[in-house]
Amino acid sequence: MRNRSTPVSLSWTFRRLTAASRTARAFTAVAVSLLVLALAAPAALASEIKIQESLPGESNLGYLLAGTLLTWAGFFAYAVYLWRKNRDLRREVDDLRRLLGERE
Amino acid sequence: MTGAWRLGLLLVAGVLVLIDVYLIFGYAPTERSMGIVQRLFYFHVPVILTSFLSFALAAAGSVLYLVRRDRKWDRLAYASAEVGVVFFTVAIITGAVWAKPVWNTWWVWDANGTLTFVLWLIFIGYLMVRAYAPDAERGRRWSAVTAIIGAATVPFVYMAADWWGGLHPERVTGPGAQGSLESEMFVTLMFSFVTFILLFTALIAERVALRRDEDAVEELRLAAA
Repeated sequence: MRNRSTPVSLSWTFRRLTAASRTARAFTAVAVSLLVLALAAPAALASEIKIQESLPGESNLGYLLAGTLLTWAGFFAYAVYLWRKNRDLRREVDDLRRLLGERE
Repeated sequence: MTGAWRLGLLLVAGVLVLIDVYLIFGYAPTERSMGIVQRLFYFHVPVILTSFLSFALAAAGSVLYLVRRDRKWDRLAYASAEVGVVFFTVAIITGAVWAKPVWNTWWVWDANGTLTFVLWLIFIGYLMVRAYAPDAERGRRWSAVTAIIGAATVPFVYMAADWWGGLHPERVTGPGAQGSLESEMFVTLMFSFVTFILLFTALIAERVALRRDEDAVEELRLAAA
């Protein structure tokens, strides 16, 4: 861990963010792929769902699919939010580099 | 935790997500009284318990930050609170979607529903304090206190149905649970727990790393001002 009294170096931060952005992009890509698969899986498995004729609530399939969809949509939205945060951060560091470069 | 580890963690969580979806839709039996919509149980219960864990972690990080004033604990607290809000919101939504066909209403303002809403508001408040505090240091301290108050509310939400009654059913697993589950249901539920806890860990690790970068950029911004 860096000592708090150590001044933050621009190049250090930029290197870290560049590496972090690669990871974040990969992270988001993996998250999105997995969530799409997880959303598609219930539809693919629909024929496997063990519905017994005598059970109540058969017509509630729509609620089940809506709940499943909203669950994964929530995590998907958060993965996109993290990716956007990282992108904005990189842009800000670029701006700071230009600003500090101009001062030097 | 390095980027490669975080990515690996997400990949493992992803594989578990797919297996979990299969277990929920292809392995677990259909519950007798509620029918197929009861399968939302395998999302709702693990997600809400994971959010409780997240809020407890946010409070622990907050206490450590207030005592030691080390920013790494604040980063952990912030990441836990934010990811906790995501999980808790998902749990509230799945609860409402499940309630509609079973209780014929989206939401009930009984003790459980009301305290759930209060807990959600407290952690939304945590994020708002961070966003709108007059300066970063005060934001960190005020939000730490908010997280501690929020985490203290969690046991009341957990026990609300037992203590004050209401429409929410008895718990079938966890400390103090009174109900029971068929073995296939139990296996599916436990697998869901593991899956969502791993997904939670991957998201927390990613958010902590991003928060560290945000702090570094903030220091640079101050240096450039």
